[in-house]
Amino acid sequence: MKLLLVEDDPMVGGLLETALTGAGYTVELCPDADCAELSIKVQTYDIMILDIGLPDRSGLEVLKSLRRAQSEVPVLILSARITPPDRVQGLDLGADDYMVKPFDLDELLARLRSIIRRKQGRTEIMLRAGNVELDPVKLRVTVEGAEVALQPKELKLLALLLQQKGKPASKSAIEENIYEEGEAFESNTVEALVYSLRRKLGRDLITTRRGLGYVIAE
Amino acid sequence: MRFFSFVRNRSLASKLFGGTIAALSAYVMVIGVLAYMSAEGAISGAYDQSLVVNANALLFLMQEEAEEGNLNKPLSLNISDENLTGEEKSIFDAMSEYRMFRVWYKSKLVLSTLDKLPATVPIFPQGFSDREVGDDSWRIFSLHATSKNLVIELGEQKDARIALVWNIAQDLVLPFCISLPLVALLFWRAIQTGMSDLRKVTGQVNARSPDQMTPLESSNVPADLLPLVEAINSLLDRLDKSLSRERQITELAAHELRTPLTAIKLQAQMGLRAPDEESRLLALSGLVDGVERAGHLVEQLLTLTRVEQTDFELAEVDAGEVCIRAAAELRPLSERRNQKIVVEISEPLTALANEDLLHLTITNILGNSIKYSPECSNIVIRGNRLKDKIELEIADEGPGIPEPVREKIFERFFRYHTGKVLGSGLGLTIARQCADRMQASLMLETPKNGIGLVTRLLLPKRRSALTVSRL
Repeated sequence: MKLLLVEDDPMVGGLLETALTGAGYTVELCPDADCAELSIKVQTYDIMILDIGLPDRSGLEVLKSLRRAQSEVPVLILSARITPPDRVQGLDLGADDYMVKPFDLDELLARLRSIIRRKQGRTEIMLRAGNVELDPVKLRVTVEGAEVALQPKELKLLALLLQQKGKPASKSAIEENIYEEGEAFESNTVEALVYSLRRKLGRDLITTRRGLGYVIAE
Repeated sequence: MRFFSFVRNRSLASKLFGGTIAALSAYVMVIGVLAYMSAEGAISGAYDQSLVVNANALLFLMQEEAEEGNLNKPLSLNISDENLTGEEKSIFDAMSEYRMFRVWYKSKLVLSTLDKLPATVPIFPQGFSDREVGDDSWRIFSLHATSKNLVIELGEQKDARIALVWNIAQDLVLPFCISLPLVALLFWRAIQTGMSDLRKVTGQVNARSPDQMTPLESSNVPADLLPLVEAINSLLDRLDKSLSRERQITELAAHELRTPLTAIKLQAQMGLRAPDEESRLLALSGLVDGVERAGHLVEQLLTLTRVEQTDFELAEVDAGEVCIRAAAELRPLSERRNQKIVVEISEPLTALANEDLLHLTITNILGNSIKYSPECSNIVIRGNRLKDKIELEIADEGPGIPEPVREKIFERFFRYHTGKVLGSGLGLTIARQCADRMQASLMLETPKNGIGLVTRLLLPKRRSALTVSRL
């Protein structure tokens, strides 16, 4: 899951980045509106956390230009503005959720999961394929009920494929989704990850579609 | 004392009422006096004339009596009222006491109303005269017919006239006096009706809650109350502006406090879920940083409030010494960043300032320089004596502040350089407030070489006329 975090306060931004990365997101941090707008142009994100009080412009301006550009990326506003009119304005401008600072980290993570489920049209909380089950809350994977330990990147890849079951993910899409910007990766790493997932979860789970990428069958 | 204050503070209605009734009473009195005077003139004329006419009539009668030789011995006169009817009789009786006449023939009194003016009173000179006889005051007309040896004297007591004049004046004034209470009542009603508008305005003001700042209704207010209503409305407007400014500041402060609180809560939650000792300790030290940051913000907020709301005395202060002290206090911070603070002050710089405020100004500016300037850079504090000012200059090698934001930077919570520095957004606001309270000016400039920021503080050396009058 690729997440854009727009937060101007370095302390809050840094801590959130750490927390979200720990929760399995690939996080990109922007300290101002300019950075956020540029990032949206050059990248696609699965979800966005947006602060309103940014130094250069209001976060609401970012939201407006995002929706004007027909982007459907879900947005959660995280703001120190607490009055109902502020929340109403944020939601009416196209935000999917609104949380006020200071917030509870677990609640934020739960809301992010709920937004993603809604976007994918899922009501089931667990991600499942055959006898493999991924718990997005605890970030635990089981095969026939037995827990299997996965590396963070393996987990991210599995989550990505499970969330778009039946739809193949290209190698570059996978790279973009699981590696953070500036993180060095070699071109065979995706193959290595797929190999190790097959070894841990069974050979038939992930199918290779030549020229299209990898897919988990529905 | 209470009585006097009551008199001074008595109600508008009673003042108006008292004034009107006093004026009305004075008016009635003047009418009375004028009526008295005019009646007196008219009555004197008429009565004098009737004296003359009657004297001539009596003379005519007496001439005949004299020619017939009836006057050689005194006549007896018996005036009877038997031919008079009731009313005529009473008029006759009422007035007879006030009249008299005497007829002299050859200097002998031959006919008189004896009891009024006895013969011992000598003959009056020809014409009108006024005379006191006993307790009575008389108006006399004396007609001397020398060729006939006859003198006719008719007199009238002045009391009769005065009584009549009084009667006329009373008849004029009495209706006024009787109707005065009624008129007063009508006045009182009218005044109360007028006052009801004032009461309406008072009611409007009273009915307000403390945060209701909408203007009072002024469309139906009478013209003379309008200035009051407008004055109240303008006061409400000013109050509203200052209140909403206060509210804005409070909201802004609450908003700003939420950010460090967010960091603290986040840090604490991450500490709670830390998988090992090492990351727990890291989270805890981050927590301490967060609390320190929130504490600093609260401290700065309190300082700003104190600077804005306390009265500070200005006195002669050695500004150089304050700079040296501030530099010494902040040196540990600068040394952590390998920065050097150089103080280039060689002479005493006596300025009119407040030591506390000046210290706050310098430490806030110096604190900013340390925070925003790169490591291993220099910060220089210089001081100069100008003609009537003391100039202090703090120059750093930081990123500077571009011209367009130099005024905005003094607004509370306005931050220009965000990035890694966690400022409260209040440092320069406090410095500017302190400078303002000392009637000093604070300016931001770019040094000649274009690198860094120069903050210049100009302090007055002594009280100017303006300062004295303001203090």
